[in-house]
Amino acid sequence: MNPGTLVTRIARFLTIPLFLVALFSDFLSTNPPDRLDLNQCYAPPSRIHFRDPSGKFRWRPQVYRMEMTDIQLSRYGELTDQSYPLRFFPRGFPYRILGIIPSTRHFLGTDVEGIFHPWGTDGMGRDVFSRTLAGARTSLFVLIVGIVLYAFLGTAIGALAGMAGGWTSTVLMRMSEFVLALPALYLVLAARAMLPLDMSFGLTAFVTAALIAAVTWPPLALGVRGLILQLQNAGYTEAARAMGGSPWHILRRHMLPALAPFALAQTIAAAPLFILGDLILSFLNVGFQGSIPSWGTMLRSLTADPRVVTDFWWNAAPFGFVILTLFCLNSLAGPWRAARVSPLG
Amino acid sequence: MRILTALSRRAARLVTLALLVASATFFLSSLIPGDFFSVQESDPSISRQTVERMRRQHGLDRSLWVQYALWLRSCIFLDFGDSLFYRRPVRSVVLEALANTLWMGIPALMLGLAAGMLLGVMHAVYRNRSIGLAFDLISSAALALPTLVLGLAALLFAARTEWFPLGSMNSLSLQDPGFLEWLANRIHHLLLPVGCLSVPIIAYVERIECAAAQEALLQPYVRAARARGLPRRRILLDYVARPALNPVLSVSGPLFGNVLSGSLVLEVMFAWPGLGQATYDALFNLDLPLVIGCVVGSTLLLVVGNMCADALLLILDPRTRIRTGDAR
Repeated sequence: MNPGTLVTRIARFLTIPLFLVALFSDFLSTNPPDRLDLNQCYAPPSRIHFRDPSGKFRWRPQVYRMEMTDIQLSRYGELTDQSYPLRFFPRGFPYRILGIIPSTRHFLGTDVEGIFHPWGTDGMGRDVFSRTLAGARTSLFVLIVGIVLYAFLGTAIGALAGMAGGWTSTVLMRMSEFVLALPALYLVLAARAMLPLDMSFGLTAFVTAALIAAVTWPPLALGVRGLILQLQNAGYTEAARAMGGSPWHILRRHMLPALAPFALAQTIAAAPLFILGDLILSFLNVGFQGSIPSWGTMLRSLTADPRVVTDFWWNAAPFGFVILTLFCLNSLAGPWRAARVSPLG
Repeated sequence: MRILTALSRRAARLVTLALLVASATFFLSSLIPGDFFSVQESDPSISRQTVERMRRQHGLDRSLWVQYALWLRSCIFLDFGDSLFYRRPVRSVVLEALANTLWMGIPALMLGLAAGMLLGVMHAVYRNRSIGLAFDLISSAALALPTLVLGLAALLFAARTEWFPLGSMNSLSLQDPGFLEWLANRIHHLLLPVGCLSVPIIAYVERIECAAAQEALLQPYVRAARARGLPRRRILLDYVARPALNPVLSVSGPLFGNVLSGSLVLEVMFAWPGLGQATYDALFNLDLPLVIGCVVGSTLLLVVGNMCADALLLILDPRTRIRTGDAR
């Protein structure tokens, strides 16, 4: 077995934990993702100690509260008069598991909120670790809405063009060539900026996903149309037609099952585009707004203040997540992704 | 001659495309609440009458359809109106920005194509050795990296090491430079963005070139050339790399699309005054004539690029002329 496939297999396997992290982000968080603390701007990652304030060794790891020692430079020191022991499953902020079951238990943390910041805090004192996980959830949401829209749009247009034939087919195929020839990101950016920016979370995700799907559907539609034209000549289709099956019946019972593997593979291959599109739009300030945690807005803060790069490097945490996610999703698509370049840059 | 008819058909389609895109943007932009002068309405130092007068001057008080008709009429003469923010014709603003985008895009494409083809042929030749596996890994990693992530990594790198200038196209400290000095400074500014822009292209071209070259290596004419005792370099260049040009050039559409989208992100990131930056600023200033101009400009750039690639393919690969007699 060659290492290329080994890496691909590992990446595919890693997709599952990534999904789980996104699904259970609130459970894994140590702090509420949008909890502000202006006394803790750019606090460094908490250090874990095995000694209590009196210097005695303890098996239970503990952390100390960070206190600002230099307001201009945002330097911090540890307040060593009181320690906060780390424990599994402490009580914390209330949330709902998978959006349904109410709970206050978290995976790891201290009994008091706002002390333990595994990856430090950002410019508004928000916990980078919790925000990164919540950003994963945001991305997952956009991804799911996006691939559903993409699969629906591409299959519907392709199937219509393939079944109807004639001028309908010509118009639809011209349209897909037209969309292929457009500068994708310019249009998405312009269209998104022209729609109102302060929308609810769900609506923002929907609009972002819909805009990306609107410029990326042609490959799927073209492929589906080609397959349908082939299937029109298959023996079982002809038999169904001879027995008086309506086009809708033939499409549903005989064509869609045959199309499904191709459509599914194409859709999975398009999945990274939605993560990327959400990232770019949020980065360009036209995606998620305000306190909604998303990787794009977090990455944007890297360019906002030059000190973030040189001094407060922990704010770059979503960076690794983005690269890992895109690599995993790409490897998931496998050979269908073999030679394709993203239209979003 | 065939090249000419194919190209003229393309050009006709191009004009339709540009007009459609411009119209769509025009109507989409009417959805925006407020206009360019809304900001000045809330400014107490400017009276309401002044704002109204300015609106009238720019024709913003008329109905949408009248505005569209007037705008369409001037479009025929390639006049897209005046930019409200820069107070200059949109055409000159867009052309200037377009030239700056090309400063970034063309070197990236050149580098991407050259390096991608070279690496692709090497990959095909060394396929069964460990170098081939390294190629596999690196190219799949590079394909997964979007320009946004690469650009941010480059920014982090530049800010840490201070080896590269950040922002704009030339250093402000450059007083009255000679041409060579100016060029060196410009290249210094270009290195990082062009590098980021070309990574996905290199990976993509490498993949395609590798597959095509592998196929070419198995052809009998390559074996015949080897049997005739031709030098290795000549075989690789004329018998392997040249037939593999076709698949690379025929995917120019997605390639240019990627470069254009990638340059938008990089321009905003590196404060490069290109088309992407212009679009971005125009959107936030609500400078709608400029937005439409920029979207049309980017569409034209993409389609003209594709036309050039098609023409190049017809010139470079005789097979395309015999088989179809038409542009692909």
